[in-house]
Amino acid sequence: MKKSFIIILMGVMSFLPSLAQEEAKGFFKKYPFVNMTEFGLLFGRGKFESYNYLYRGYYPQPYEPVYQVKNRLNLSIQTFNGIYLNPKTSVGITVGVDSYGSTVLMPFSAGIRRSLVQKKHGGSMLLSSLDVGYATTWLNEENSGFQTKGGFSINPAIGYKLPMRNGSAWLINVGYRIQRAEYSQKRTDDFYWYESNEVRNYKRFVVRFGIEF
Amino acid sequence: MKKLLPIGVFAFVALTLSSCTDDCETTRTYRTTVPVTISVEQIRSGISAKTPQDLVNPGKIYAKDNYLFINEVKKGIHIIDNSNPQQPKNIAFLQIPGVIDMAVKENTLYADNYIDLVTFDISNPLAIKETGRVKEVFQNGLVDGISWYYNPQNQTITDYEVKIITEKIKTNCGIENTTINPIYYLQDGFKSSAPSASSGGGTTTTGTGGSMARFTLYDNYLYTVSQSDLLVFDVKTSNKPTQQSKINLGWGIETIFPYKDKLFIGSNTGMYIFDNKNPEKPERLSIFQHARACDPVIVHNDIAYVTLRTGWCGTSPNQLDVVNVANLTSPTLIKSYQMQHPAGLGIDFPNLFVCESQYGLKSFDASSATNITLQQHIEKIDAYDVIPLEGKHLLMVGKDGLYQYDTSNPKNLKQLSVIPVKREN
Repeated sequence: MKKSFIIILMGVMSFLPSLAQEEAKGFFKKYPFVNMTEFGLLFGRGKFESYNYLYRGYYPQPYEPVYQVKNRLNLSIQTFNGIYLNPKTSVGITVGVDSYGSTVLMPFSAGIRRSLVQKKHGGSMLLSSLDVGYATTWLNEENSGFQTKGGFSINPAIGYKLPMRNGSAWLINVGYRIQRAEYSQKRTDDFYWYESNEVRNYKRFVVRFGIEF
Repeated sequence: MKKLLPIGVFAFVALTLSSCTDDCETTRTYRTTVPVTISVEQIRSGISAKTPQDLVNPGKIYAKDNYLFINEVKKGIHIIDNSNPQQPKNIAFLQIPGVIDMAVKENTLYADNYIDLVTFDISNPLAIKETGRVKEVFQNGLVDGISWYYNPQNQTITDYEVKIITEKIKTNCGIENTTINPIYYLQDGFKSSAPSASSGGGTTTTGTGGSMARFTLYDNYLYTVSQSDLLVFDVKTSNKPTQQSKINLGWGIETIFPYKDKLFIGSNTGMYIFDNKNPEKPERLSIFQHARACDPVIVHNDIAYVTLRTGWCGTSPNQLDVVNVANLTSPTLIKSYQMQHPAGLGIDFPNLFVCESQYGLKSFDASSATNITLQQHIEKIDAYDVIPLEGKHLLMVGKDGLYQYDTSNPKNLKQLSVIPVKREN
């Protein structure tokens, strides 16, 4: 079911721009179609307690945890499809595919793009964006014994829109993303049964490059 | 406005950079065992007669005349007046720390009190009195997969309590390992457990035990099996048991069943047959070996019925083995029957009753050992152990309570009554 949904969605997405071009009258004349497809890097860190190998002596002492920090880099692609409400503001739906370690999340968000500053007409402009939505795990493969659930995501960003001569534009955005996901594990068939639910809030600094047409 | 914007952008970027650390928290719930130390004085002074209490975690059952004794694992013994099986009355509770097994001879109840064997006068079940005690005869014990052991040096017993722990911990967000949280055990107990079989001594003065019994009475002797040893007590004077001998049997002993002048002892690797002509010193005749499994055994007419099941004791096919023991020195397998998850069993020839744990209770026609046929299957109850009593009366205990059946028609058992288990959670 979910696979067919993805295929239909892709079909609609590839169809929409052509629809916009061919029938640039009526609705799409008033509210022009816009697509912004971006490739992104998600920079984050993990801080975790590691084993403390320091010799502590024979007598027990207060335990001081030792933390270790590791950088994490994840990949993301997303496509925003929407319409211009006015020359400065566009709204639409953002569909992305993000990887967080072994987890692949597919967030669906409501998105808004608004240009803030443009010095002269046809020049580059400062563009802000906000995507708020929910990530699904439709593309995820589970580690055995686990069940992954997606969650809320919010992604504000700010960047530059660099128009090209042909009407398209390059996009460079930097932003921030919070993505929630839950991982549950259940083993109830033996004596020492175990149940766990891990809530992960992935917090990432986002750099995105893309194109608008 | 235009001047403020770059500052705003800078502030935004700075803010986002400052908190790009993942934040992960796991809520986990698990069952574990926590060690508890109990002193010998606490154990010995912990015995008292109490008002009737609800069944919470029933263990073995024992029937004597019109009374039923139901073990509340490691807590005590419920005493049930069963003169009317349709309306059993819970009349008293005898608190005994660490009690797992019991047996009754005349008016004397034998029970274990962790390390000690204690005798009680039960002539008036409403006022039970402790009459004797043999000290420090058991060194360790095991029930429900949890073992305890005695430390003679500091006179303490270490037992384990099962606890369900729910905790919240910060985790590493899966940075290091692919499994989010490997499963750790606080303690790894001995993983073998205890259902075992017997339907008890046939003499009129003693009662009848269930197939979980490790205590059995024969003639003037009380036999008890621990994990590794067979202990023989002389109970000619009911309230003054004296230890006669101790026979090492190896590890994994589960059950004792007296049949004629023989003792059938089930371990999780096989069935031992002991000659009991001299009750003070049973002699080993033979062993019938099988796959490693939990295996209660009962015997009737030179035919032994052994159930094997997967569990703490090992993994093996779930089955019922019928063994010819006419020649005691070389028992031979007659036939194996497929079962679901058999635990205790009992025979009221030609009817054989097998408890199938969560799959219910089965009634078989065992008139021909080579062709045992199913007569009835009572589903949707948890069946752990049965005792067939005289007068077509069957006692069955499971996780949900003690059931009594009228077995005059083995194809259609009639439920007489239930004493329900009241569980806390």
